[in-house]
Amino acid sequence: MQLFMQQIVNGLMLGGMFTLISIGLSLMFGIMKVANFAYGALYMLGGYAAYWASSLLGVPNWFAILVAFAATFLLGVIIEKFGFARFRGNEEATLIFGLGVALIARGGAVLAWGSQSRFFPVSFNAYHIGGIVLPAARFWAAVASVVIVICVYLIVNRTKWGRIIRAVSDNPERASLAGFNTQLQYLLTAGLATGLTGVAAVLLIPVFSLSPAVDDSALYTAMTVVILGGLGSISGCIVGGFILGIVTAIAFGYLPSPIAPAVPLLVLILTLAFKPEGLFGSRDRVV
Amino acid sequence: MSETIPAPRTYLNIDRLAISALALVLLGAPLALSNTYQLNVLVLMAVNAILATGLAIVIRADRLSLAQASFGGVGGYTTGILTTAHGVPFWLALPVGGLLAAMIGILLGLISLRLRGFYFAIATFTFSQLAIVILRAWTPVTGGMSGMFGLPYPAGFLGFDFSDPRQYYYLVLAALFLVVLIYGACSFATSFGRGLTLLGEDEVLATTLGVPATRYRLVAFALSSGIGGIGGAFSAHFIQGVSPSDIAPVVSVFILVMVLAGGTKTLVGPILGAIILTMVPELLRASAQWSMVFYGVFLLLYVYFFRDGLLPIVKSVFHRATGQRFVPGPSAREAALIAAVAEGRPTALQISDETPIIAFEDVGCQFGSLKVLQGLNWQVRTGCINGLIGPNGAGKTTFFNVLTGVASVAEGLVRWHGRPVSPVPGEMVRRGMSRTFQHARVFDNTSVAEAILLAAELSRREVPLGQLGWLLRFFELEGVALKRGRALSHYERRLTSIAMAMASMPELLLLDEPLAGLDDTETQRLSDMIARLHKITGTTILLIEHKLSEVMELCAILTVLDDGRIIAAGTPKQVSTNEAVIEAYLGNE
Amino acid sequence: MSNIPILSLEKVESRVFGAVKLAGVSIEVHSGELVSILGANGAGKTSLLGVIAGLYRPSAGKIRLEGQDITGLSPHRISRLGIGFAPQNHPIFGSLTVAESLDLGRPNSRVDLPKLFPNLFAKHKQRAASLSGGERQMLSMAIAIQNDPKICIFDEPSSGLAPKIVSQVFAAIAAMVDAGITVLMVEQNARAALRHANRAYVMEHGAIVAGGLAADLAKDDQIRRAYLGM
Repeated sequence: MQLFMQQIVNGLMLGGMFTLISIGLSLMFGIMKVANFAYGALYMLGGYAAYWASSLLGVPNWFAILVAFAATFLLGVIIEKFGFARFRGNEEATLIFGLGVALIARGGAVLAWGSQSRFFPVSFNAYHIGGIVLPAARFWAAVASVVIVICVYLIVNRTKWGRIIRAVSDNPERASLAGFNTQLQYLLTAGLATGLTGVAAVLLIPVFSLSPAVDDSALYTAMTVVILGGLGSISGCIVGGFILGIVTAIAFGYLPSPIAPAVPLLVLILTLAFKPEGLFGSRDRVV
Repeated sequence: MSETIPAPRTYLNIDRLAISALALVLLGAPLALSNTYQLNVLVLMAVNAILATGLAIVIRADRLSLAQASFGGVGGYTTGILTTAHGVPFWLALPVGGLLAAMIGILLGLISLRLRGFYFAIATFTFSQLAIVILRAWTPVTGGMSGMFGLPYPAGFLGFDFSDPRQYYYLVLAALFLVVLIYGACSFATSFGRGLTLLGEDEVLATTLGVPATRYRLVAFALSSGIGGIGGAFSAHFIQGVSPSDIAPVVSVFILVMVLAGGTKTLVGPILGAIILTMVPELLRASAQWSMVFYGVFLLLYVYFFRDGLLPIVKSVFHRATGQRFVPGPSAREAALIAAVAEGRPTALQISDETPIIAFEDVGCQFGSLKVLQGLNWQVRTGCINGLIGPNGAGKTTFFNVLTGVASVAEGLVRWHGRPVSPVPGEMVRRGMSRTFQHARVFDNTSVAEAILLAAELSRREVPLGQLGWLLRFFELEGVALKRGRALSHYERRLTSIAMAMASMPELLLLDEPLAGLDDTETQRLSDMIARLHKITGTTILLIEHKLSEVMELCAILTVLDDGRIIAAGTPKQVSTNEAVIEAYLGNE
Repeated sequence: MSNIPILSLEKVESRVFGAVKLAGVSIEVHSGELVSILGANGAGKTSLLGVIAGLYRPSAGKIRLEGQDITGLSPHRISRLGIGFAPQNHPIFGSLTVAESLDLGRPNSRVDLPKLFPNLFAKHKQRAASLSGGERQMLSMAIAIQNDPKICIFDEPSSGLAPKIVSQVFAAIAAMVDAGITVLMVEQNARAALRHANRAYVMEHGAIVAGGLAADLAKDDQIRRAYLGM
């Protein structure tokens, strides 16, 4: 029982972090209707931006987060302006564009920085509550993640700007006629989405470490959470993240470690097989 | 009126030229090389060509698979395990490997092919991760992280010794030849292939003509993955080993880049792509990382500049340099149809069944909470031109969509010759009902003649060639018979789309705003054509139109729709003097 | 009060793939007027609005908003300069609630929205996608009058609506005009449009074939011919 509760708690912390990894993709899918295969690469680059800011320039961690945000925000704006905006409506072109960017980023990262894993200095503290162990780094990463995602939810659903980008996403032509510059809104949303990805990378490097290869796992984790939750639903992203987190923690807790990674992958495949629209998504965006 | 149809022999067929040149190069290459390393690269390139050609089959169906290398891995591991652990000879293990890859492909396809394209991409991407995890974890069988070693060369026969790289290369080349034949069958040589090609061009139109989208994609994907398995087996038994790193997702992306580079428009496109993208990194002595960057840049160039593959660019460069334009003459099928134009005779429909062709019984349709159609009781009048009119937003297009199965019925019944039926877009063509679209949909890359032939073929109704030849003449399309859809004027597109709908010799033809976008002369001409078409073939016609003066002349009977309900039905004279109709159009006080 | 028309089109022409959509159209709308554009389907009414809205550039002619040349500007610029559009197709944001849709800009200072559209306000927490056809048209108009536009342009506000709802829609438009909002509306429902409008233009084949006071046009047989083709 103790082991089970520990896994649940692990799962909740993991889930919080998965949600943060996925929120950027959820925004890109939901608001911008873009299947961004470069997402993992952006996560990875954001991590490196922060890592170098921190270790080369010696900036404090909180500043490194800003650096990561700024770097990925800029990247997001660039690939939206020169990439996704051009291929809007053409699903195949969008996909291939994302793959192209991902390949260049991955290859370039290894050439520039080598393929070894990087680590942030991390405290090995842990909190002990009722026999459950909560490593401090994970705990605070999870808390920060949840706070950030809730802020995003509030921004999108309760502010004027959130209403505007939802209107633009829902009906770009009507939004144009109502006076909103849809190109600009798309740029800002893309920047925000990828900026969040950068922040995710910084917060989670201490937990997951950093190497050029993290882009694949970031990508399919985010894709699984977003599809499980339902495309375009932020609350779905939150619920999906926690479900995936718990399932993953239980899998790693009870199954031998070579097999355990298969379980979160199967979650996506099973979701597609039985409920492709996800928990909170609508059927008509799927077929 | 009709231009001279080009004689086949006057023009050079660049595709045949390219294929011959390529074949020579491929066959001669090992004789020119002596270095073992170079020969190894050659074999690798040939294997890549197999994988790429297989992948091209599913890409033509408008679906991107990111798992081709993984299916190669399935093949390689299967033959590896069978030959080393169970002493099965390679030649027996090979088909097993291919079959297993195909079956896994079918499973994955069943899950994801019915969904939008991007879901398929993500499903294959995830599968490729899953395959790595399983192969790494199943150590006793697969050798775990380090993979398997000591895979035997295929047993020789007839004096061939496949431990020699040159001979192995020719073996792979022979397999590639067979794979290209299969690719040809999936592109143009079979009815399946032609349907698949149309699916990739315009899914809505192809489905309406009778192509079962998901089923065809499933077959395409099964073939694609099976071929992947075969390619992977050849690779594994050449390098005599297979490991999980061979099937990393990035390798599958490399194969995808090869297909895109060569393009799926020609038979040897994927092979060209494989050659370019295997050779260039080798020539540049690029490291694995630089190769990755190179492939990424290539993908970006592709998506920005040459989405039709490199061959059209080569053609246009050649044209600019030499002034020669390479235009292929008509294919055998096209030539046959054009020849049938002179002799073609129309066949009048035999009306055997007197029950109304199609009827609505209390039909209602809604989108969400919006009731678009309510309480419709209607039947089409056989042997007449029927009209469906009404103000904007009345529900006329939804009416058509319900007839053809694009929109589903929320309440009531649709009856076909008396029997209740649930219309499905592709099926109605087979029963004998075709439709056109408001926007004159044609296939951009298919010629007019070929499109008419395909429309007849896909309907699975026995249509004599003479009938199709007559259609080409009737719609005055002989002059543009060889022009691709994208080169047609709006009027020609309209005519072509109606000809395609008539190609199946339907009992009932649905025309959705056939006169839209035509100027006065064209409107008059097409109007006359519709009247004569009905008179000669006896096909019952139902049309939606807004140009009321034409409608009044053409139609024997009119049904007026307003706000989702039928408010009047009768002859044009009755309807135009009907108060309710006048009010619907001009408005109420 | 200045005599410059709020909106004027000067010999506007437009072609799509070589086919003429608008042939030298000139119209004017003055402050406080309700002007209607009538015509059968395909007459060019939608092309006219598309060109005013900035969705496509005319091949010739000018469009002026209070004298300022707005020809060829982007739709959102034109909207910001003071034109409130309610398009015919996809008029609303389905995934936003009624309240959110009405909170995309400053509320109109001349009208009292809850009084103008009472049924909308009863449903203000509902998602717009769940509204009926008539309610969607009203919501679209309510969105269009935000930010105090100089002129509102409605594209077939009564399209697809039952007669009872049509009269509600026109009553709302009349109330807006009474409050001082200038309106240009394209309408298929000629009779109701002529009953409420000050002036109207009739279009056929992309050109204006008749224009004048609504009361005069209502008696003119030309309308019947243009619509019913006989």
